[in-house]
Amino acid sequence: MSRQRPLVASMFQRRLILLMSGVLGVSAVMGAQALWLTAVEGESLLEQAEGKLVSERWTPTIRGRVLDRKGRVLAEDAPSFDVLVDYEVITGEQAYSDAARQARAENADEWPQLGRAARAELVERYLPAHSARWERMWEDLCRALEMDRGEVERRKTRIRRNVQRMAVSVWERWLEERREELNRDRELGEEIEVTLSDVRKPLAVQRQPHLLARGVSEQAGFDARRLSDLYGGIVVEHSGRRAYPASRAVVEVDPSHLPGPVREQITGLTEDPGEYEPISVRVEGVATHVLGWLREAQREDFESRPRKDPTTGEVDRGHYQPGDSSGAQGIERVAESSLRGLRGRIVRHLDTGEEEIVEPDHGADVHLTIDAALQARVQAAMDPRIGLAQVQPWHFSVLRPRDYENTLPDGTPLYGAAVVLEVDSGDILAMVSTPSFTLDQLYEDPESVFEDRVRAPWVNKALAKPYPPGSIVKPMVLVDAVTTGIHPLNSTIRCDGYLLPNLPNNYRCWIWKQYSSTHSSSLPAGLIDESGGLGGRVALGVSCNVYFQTLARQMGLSGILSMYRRYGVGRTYDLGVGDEYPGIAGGQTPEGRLMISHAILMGIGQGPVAWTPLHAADAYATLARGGLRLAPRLRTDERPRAEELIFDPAAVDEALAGLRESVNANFGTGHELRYPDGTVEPIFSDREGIEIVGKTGTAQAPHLLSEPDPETGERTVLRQGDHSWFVILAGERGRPAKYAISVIMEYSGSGGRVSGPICNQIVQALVEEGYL
Amino acid sequence: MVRTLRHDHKAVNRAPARVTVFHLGWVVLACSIVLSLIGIHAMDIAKPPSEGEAMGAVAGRQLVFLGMGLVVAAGACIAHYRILIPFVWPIMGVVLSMLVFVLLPFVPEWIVAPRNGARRWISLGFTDFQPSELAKIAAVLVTASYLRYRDNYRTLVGLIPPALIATVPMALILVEPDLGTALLFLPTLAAMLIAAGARLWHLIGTAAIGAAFAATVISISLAMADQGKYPILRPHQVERIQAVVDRIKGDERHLDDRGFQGQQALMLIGSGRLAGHSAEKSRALVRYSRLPEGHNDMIFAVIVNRFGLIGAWSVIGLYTLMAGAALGAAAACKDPFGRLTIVGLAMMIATQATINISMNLGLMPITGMTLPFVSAGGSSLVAGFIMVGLICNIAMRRPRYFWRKSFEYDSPDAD
Repeated sequence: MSRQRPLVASMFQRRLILLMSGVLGVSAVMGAQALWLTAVEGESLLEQAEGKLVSERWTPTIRGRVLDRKGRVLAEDAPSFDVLVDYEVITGEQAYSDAARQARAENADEWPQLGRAARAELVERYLPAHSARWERMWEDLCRALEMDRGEVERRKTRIRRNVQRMAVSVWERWLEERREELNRDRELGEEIEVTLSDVRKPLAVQRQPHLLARGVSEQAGFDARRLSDLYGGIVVEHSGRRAYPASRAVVEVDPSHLPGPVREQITGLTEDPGEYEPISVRVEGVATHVLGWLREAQREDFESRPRKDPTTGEVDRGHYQPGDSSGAQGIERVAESSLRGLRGRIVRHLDTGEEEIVEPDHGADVHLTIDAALQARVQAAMDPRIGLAQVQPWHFSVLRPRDYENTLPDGTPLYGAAVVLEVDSGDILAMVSTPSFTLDQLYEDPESVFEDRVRAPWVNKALAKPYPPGSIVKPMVLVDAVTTGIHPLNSTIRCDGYLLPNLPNNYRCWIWKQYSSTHSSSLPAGLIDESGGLGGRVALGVSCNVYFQTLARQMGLSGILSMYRRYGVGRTYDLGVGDEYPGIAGGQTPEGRLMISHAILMGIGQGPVAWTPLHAADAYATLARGGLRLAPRLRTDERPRAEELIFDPAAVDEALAGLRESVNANFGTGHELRYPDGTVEPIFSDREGIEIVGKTGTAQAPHLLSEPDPETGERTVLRQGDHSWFVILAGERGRPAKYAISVIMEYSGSGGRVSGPICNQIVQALVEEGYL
Repeated sequence: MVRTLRHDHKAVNRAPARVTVFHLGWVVLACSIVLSLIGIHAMDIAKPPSEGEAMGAVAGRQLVFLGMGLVVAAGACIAHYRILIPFVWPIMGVVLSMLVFVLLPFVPEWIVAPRNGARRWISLGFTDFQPSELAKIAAVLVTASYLRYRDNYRTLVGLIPPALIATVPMALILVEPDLGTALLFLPTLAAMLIAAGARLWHLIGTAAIGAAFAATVISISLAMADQGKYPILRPHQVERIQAVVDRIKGDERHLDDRGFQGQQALMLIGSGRLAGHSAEKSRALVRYSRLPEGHNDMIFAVIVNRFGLIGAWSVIGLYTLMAGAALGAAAACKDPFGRLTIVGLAMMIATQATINISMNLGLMPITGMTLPFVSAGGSSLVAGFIMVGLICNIAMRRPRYFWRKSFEYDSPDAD
């Protein structure tokens, strides 16, 4: 078989064609890859490359303000500025660069021909003028910042030292890496010498501006900015320091509305001068629990707002960077996203030297329902220095031994909480928890804030601490029993001192417990019926336990539990200003399961039930609205949440009448203070046109125990006794109540005696702030 | 048979050569000059001039080297290339001595200064000279001289001597270490053997075994590198392979370390898009990309950034044209030594360009190899022009009488 004659006769030439084909093939592959990179990936790679032409610097965000309901500033970024200076200006290299630039520009023709030494000589001629110019800049800057030149020089030295230390450490690391890279795979021969000069390249920190002065005033910032325009090399940035201007306040307290013994105690006057000089009380940490504070941004912040959205690639100007602040607690935390604002951006085009500046967008202001002045006044009223929130001799029943209720010596500070709610809107006008704390205290002595179990400053007691409601819940029980038809309004209940005749030591009335008496036997005929029975109004006025235990027994376990639930017990308000206690009704009991006995106890606010002062104020405000429940709110931009609880209007009227009797009738438990010398004084000052109705509560509380002893495991009793409640509704006489006020003082005994006068001061605060 | 051919050859040597003006050597020369000018411009981009200067220092120096290169190329054309034949082995001996010399540990550093751990350069005072550049030419000449009258390389055993010719300088260059240059020898030898008529299945079989061996070495190296062990390849070599693997896998974790150089090159190439950028913009892009060796190994990326796809295709096209013209000149040449020398030199240049461009384009690991005629470097450029001079020398000379055709085998697997 003969071979086919090839197209190209020469084998050599055929082989050359083969080689050429190979060359063409390889060229085609390379050409195709070049096409792919430039045509397909070109745009994104160009974007990447152009990204390296710009140096981007983000300026800090300017956080929005927190304002109170009257527009007072509660928190704001202080109008202060950070002044930074370019590193080359700090080191003095800038003067040399300027001189070199001028020398080159003015000697453009001969410059290229000049050698290194000749150039240096030329530059030296221009140098003194530039050095003098920068020297003038430093002098001017010292004046603008009102800083001593010596201090500026010390800071410059510190910056240079830090940068050099950092640079040396980075270069040494590079040197090590380089050495390792070059020598690790050498099997033979000596080590290759690499020196620091081989790896020394300028670092970013050697080109950046460095902080010379932090938090300078607005004027100093303005002057520094002017110098920046004049000389260059100076950067003035908003410092982002947060100020809480309302956190410290001086409150003037009118002693004439204080109980007599307290008035005497703080004024030193035994005779009534007719008009008292107001007492100035400096309060600190006003609304700290509500406002919260900032902390340094953490990983969770970086992850929540990264610079670039990982899916869309969109740049978020509000992104966090190390050193940023983020809300840690309170409204600062809950409103973080709206308060934060957007960063400014300075883009410097490295190739052209041009700068694009995007100014930062301020964060949105947050308006609170709180009235800062009222808040300060309420805090002042609860300040132990005023005398109301400290153990007083007259806090104890005349007929009972002192050690029965309280073992604390006179003058011991008492702590608690108060809430002032606007009935019409549900706005929280004031929410005070004592003791409060300042941010200085938080940063400098955090143990005093977090480690004190008795004072517990970090706990917002108005919102986050459980308290048994005690007798303040009685009007709710009456309204519910009547509304549900369990108890007709016209029927009465006898008080024989205890609920069950066969168990005289259980389910006792307070009057039996303290005075071995009964309401049916002690009240005058006009207040009870022929059979000695009490109506709802009088029962509330005298706070008869037997009456309400009877109602609770009739309502049954489910009835009493559902009543509490209707008032929001078991649900938080989600105000977002820190931990909230939802309240509990019918929770874990020692018996393991709930029984009717628990219902009886819950009828007088004892047993397995607990709520917060905010729940209490909310419940009374709901009563004042005739059953319309408006969720309390702290921010004015929050939409009101309403819920209608169906109440029998007659029952509401009866309850309000009972509350009126409680405060205003001589027999009312919230009417008067009885002093050890036998004198009597009304709890509430007589204010023209203002009506106050309310209810005392003296709630049995579990002992406050210490942490277990590490060695013995024993816990000592730190506080014991009853919590003192007083909840009132205040408004213009003859008109619906405008404000609901709840006050609790922990382990302080009688509701009327301890919390009552504080309530009176809060009413006075409302008057002085123009609310009443 | 061999003896007869040698006899004829002596007769030819005595016969005066016919010099032609119109030959493909001009195309090769033109391509090399254009490539050099492109390279000088790219150096001016990568290493821009100081203010007030017309041209960057590196580009300026390269321009001088180009002049020198042209003079050397002209010089290489003057005498008939065949006078080299008796000297190819002595030349190889000198080159090998120089390769050994740079490796001698006692040689003072002012003569052989190690750079980045490699001993490749002999200092001549005004410039550095790289013996491996000469070794490339010497290896081609020796191989061409060896193969020209033989046919034993058409047997498997017969492939061993030419392989040894390539392996000795290659091994010395590997020790420097200069893996990139060493890699050029085997493809060039293969191309010369193909041209000389070696059996293809021998070469394909050997290449397949070599490829399998290389694949095994790479796989073992990559696997062992995960455990921090580098038994065969050196760590930086493994890292360069890993960088390509990373890119294929889309793994972007190492773009700031082992993948940095390759990634910056790709970024500059891609950002050139179709037509590139102005010199000023390109300078800025190259400068702030911090591309290492932008005037040297990675100069192709700078060219593409400046001139875009047009630039890339132009450079690739110029090398293709150069190779084509050189192979055309080889086809026109009847002298077996001349034929193989052209093929060897052309394929040496083409292989080097392919490896350099491929590593710039992310198709191959970075090996540290210059782009012939384009990258900065005096000895590389001058050596390139020696090659061009030799190609022109061969292309311009035709035998006076009909020459017996060489490398024509009439066997079933001749092709």
